[in-house]
Amino acid sequence: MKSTLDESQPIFHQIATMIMDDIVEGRLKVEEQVPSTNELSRFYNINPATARKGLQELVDKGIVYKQRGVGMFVAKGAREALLIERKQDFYEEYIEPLLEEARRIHMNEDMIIDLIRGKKDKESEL
Amino acid sequence: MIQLEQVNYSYQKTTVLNQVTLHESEPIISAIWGRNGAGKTTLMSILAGHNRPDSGTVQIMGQDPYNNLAAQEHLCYIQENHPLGKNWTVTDMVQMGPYFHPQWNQDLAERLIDMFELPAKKKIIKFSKGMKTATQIILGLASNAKVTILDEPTNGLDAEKRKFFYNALLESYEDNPRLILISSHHIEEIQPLCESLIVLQAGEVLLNQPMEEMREKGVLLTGGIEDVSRVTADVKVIESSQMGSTVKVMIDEPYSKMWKDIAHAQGLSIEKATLQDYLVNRTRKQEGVKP
Repeated sequence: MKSTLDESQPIFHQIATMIMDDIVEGRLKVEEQVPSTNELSRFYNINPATARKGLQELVDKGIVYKQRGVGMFVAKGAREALLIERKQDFYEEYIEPLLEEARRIHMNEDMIIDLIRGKKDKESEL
Repeated sequence: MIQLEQVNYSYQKTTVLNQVTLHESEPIISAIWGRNGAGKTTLMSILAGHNRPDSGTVQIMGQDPYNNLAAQEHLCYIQENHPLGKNWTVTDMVQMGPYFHPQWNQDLAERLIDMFELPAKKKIIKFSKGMKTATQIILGLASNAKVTILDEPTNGLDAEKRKFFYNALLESYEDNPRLILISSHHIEEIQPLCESLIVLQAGEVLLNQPMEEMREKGVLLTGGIEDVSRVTADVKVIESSQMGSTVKVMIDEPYSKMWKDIAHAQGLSIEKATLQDYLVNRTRKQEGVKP
């Protein structure tokens, strides 16, 4: 969980993303309880309806499940499902902008791969 | 919970509210925003039954609030400079609370007095601006009234005390969900707390929409004048400024993937406008700015 929200995306979406990050990184484990609407609302000073919408997004995706009167818990297979989804998004979210910047500053793919592998001294490259 | 139908109100031949229709049936926290003179305070005082509309109807929990004690039981309207008894201390106020508000929450009132560090024996009239505001907040939240209206509740509060207020508001709302209307110039700060936003412009309700949608509105595009003009040809441009051959515009569109893709494809830089800037531009008199 990060400590503050920003303007970049709808708040409910940021809430959902933060919980998904915690699941992917193993801070929230299968069958572990996720923060409640009220906890999220208090912690981030957001309207409870917004927090609820964020949690609902996770329920709809099957990432968490509701146990009436108790709370919400991380579903079985949530982490694996999220890892697959994130890998699919990896190209668009990270590689594309990387390649774009590389083109702008006249770096070819070999140079990028070398950089990733740490083969060349970065100082002399510049 | 509240129902206004075609409410008109004039003051000395000047129209202040023009055909205002407003329905709210859910217990939500809602923000009211408008420029100075848009009619916010008048709207609130009509809702609270302090003023009677020239025409149209007002209902609070199914009753006309004007001169009606039965409706006042459900109402708490905290004005910007709320009139409080001349000789009152916060202790007196807390003792009088249940008298005016049957749902009064004594425990909350006492906890908030502690939290805001208000002196129990000092007269409220001698309080600083921030302390007065805190006193008004306590009255508003502890009232537990079904319809609670807070006019500029953060005036004179420092950042820490504002945070106290936001926390107390959410806590009190969770304990007792009710309709809470808040007018504030600090829209950026209160927007995450609110479920919907009512925008007044020149005495009319311009917008009444879920906050989640409103905070997505307003996209800033910057780039070469020709590229920007082409991309924005079919949308409403609400602000435009130019520096050499570079132009920056704000468009009345949601900050969506579609716009990010368009900006990207055209080599324009794209940013989300703040809600405050968006609202200021959206309520500007002359419409249709051209880049």
